[in-house]
Amino acid sequence: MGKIAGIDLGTTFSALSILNESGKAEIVKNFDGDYLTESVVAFPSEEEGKAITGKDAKDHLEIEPDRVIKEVKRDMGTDKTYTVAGKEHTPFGISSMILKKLVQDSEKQHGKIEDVVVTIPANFSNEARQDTEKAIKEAGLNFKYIIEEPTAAALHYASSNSLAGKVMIYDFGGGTFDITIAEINGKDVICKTSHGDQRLGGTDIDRIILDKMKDAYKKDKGVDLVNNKAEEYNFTFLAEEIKKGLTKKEKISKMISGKEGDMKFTLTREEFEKNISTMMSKIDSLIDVTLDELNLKESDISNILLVGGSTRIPIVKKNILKRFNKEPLTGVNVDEAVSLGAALYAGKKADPKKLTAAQSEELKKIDLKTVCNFYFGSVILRENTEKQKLEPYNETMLAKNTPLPCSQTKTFYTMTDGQTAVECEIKQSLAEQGDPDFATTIWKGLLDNLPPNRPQGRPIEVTFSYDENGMMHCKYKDVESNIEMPVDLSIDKDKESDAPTANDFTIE
Amino acid sequence: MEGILLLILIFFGGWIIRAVFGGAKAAVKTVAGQGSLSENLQNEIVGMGEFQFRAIKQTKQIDNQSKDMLFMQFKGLFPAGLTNRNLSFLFTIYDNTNPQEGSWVICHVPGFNEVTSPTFQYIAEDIPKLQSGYGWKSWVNIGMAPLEFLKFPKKGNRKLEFQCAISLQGSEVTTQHGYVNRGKENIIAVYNYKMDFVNQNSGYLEISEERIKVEKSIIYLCFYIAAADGEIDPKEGKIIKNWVEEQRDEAPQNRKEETKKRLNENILNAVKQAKSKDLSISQVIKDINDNATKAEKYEALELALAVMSADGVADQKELDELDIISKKIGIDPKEYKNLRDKNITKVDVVAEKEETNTGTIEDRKKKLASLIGFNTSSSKDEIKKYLTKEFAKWNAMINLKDQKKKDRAEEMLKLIAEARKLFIDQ
Repeated sequence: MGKIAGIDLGTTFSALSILNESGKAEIVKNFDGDYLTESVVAFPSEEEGKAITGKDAKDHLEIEPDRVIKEVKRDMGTDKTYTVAGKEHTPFGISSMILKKLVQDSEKQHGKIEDVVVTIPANFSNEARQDTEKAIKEAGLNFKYIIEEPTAAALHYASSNSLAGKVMIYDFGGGTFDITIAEINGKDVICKTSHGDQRLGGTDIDRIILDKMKDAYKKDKGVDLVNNKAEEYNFTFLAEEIKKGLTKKEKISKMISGKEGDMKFTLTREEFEKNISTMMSKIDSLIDVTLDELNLKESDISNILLVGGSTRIPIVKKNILKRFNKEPLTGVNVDEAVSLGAALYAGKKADPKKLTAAQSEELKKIDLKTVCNFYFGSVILRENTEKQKLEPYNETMLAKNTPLPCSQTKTFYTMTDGQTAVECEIKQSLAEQGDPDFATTIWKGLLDNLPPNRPQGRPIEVTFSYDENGMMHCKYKDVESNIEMPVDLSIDKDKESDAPTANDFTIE
Repeated sequence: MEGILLLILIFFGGWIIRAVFGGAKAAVKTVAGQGSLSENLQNEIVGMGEFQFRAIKQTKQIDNQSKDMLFMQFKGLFPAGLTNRNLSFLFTIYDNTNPQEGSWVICHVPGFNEVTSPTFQYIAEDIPKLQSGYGWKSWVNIGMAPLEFLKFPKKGNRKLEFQCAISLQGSEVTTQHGYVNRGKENIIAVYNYKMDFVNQNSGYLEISEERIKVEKSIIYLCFYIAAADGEIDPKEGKIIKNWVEEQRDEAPQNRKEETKKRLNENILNAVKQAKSKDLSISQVIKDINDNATKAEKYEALELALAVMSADGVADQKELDELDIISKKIGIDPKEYKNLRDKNITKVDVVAEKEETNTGTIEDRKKKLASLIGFNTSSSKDEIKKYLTKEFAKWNAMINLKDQKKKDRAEEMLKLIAEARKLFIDQ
């Protein structure tokens, strides 16, 4: 019988866990003997056409930085591409290589993996979710579901600890920060809300330290410390070392060598904490927003769970203690919690026939309910009485934090006599945004070929549904003619590209 | 996209109907009181008289506001040709004061105009079948026009002619600028009614005295904002120039030259005064308050905000000025904040970065408060509440596809986090 796995596809590191025979999640080592695999892919010139992934790829940064691609998670859902030796790579293409490496390393040791669940940050856009699905499919994996990282971590904590009440999951990883509040009762987990920042992680802290090093060298020697990409990466590694060192020591000194010779660079923990104070304030703001959204006070939170390597920075625990007047929970490996939770979720979602009796029994002990992580709306035209004009308005169809699965139907009306088409636009946003300019368009199209010669005011029924897998399904329907247009916002390989074609440049 | 008429959805059950007090069809029911159709239905032939048509101006209370309406009414015994059939009543209004100037009456509210033009038209089709031997004893409202939204060619005394063409429902009758375009043979009966009417507002062929003053005020306001940071950026001037060109293009053909000359004079004077710091903003605000409609106040403010963001920098002084002006001209704070934020997403730089800031903490605090839009004298709790709300709003934008908006949202989040640090944590 094939294995069921959960994968934490991280910005800097990734991890894979499998569901063992007794139904417990177990993290798997890669071929280098590590539990964490660097989310880095390199294309060495020595072996043209071949890609290496993980630790070797990261090490290759010092040799050929132009042939190394990293931190692609931040570009998922965007049009960004990376060119290496004339060949273009997409963020999901690189992600698929990382996934393949994780699965191959595991399969060689533990046998074939049948189903996988992959994790994503809580506030990943719909496009980024779709790119994650593409990466899974491109890696040739039997994709089951995607799950949000803090949710997976909560599931893992709940399975291994006795928790009760409103629990805050503080997920500070290499590239992203997520905050989630879940209601946990024993092994039942109900996610209430999530907020996050996809550009707030350990790598951003490394950059702050690197900037300090650059400033210090320039001030002392009068020249730039960094003059090329390879040097940039070398000093970034050094900055990372300093950051890690400061988790245990009050002061770290390192020799930095530049064009004009060596210089001793010293950073105290106090200075370091001052340098990242605005970043920590950003985290506090995200906590403010999360608590405010559920009308909660700090004292309502019964436990704080830490996830992600960046939570090892002492100021994190210090701030939590100061604000919540309680120590965060320890005892679970913060780097592994996400993939372990994902493996449990994969087990929950697997075909029961594929599970052993022991696995089924163990998985019965946990239950997970999730919520809609976004506001979804449809653009309508309405009168702004204050401005005395008609203007487009993003009418909320599904509200954030509605328990999944959910569905809502609203009726709108055609505007003019003889109207034969209706413009349909689906919006997604993290806050309720009436102004369509402040929400992302995730789909646009026409419900057309409607019967002619009808007066205005014909009802158009709009239905939005959100399934447990976090995917959207919509339908626009002309009630009288029954003409309808279903919109499936899950992966669609045949989706038309927005890129212009040659015909777009011809003139009439 | 020819062939496709108007493609936008409206939420007929709430937004539009409430806003334009009834929309088209629903208005008859809610305002005119469709119930009167049956209440008036009588079969006393004696004394009822022949079937008559008229139009009348009446004031109605809608959503606690008095609204002037023109009602098109019928009374009398139903003529034989109209009974026991599903009828369509098509109403139009002509302005016959001076047909050489123009005879169209325009209405920009959906449901009150022709499919192919903004000319007023109202079609009533939900009238119950008229029964033979019956009639309406007193006047019954069948058609209506909201006066607030009607535009006549000119101001003053107008000679209006109301027309109602009755046809079978579903038979093709279309009009072009009020005149029957197709399907004349399908019309069963035509009723006309003439009315002398005084139009209090400027006509669509005229530029009102008030509009001339408003345009001048808008130009002065915008150059005042453009010069608030010390100099007028060419990009700021371009925004104003484009708007002025639009005003010229929209002017009636015979007034274009004169409009151009007048607006250019306004520009020259405004630039001169703005540069020499002689431009009195309090006078500009007074003129706007004296002459501009609500919609024109928004027009002024939206243009001024566009001028503010045109040079790619959200300048603190310009924003401070606009915050004050918006309050003085009575703009709704919520709408203003929305417009302000929209323009901030268009700039290249919101403010200098925290790490390159060389001023004092107090100066930095003032700058942050101005850019984020709160008062430094508010209590810590109020500021925290405001910052939380603002953080939630800008954080929601980091998933936008538009990279520029995304970057501005990132910048705003950093500024809000910095403000939280300086105002709340320290």
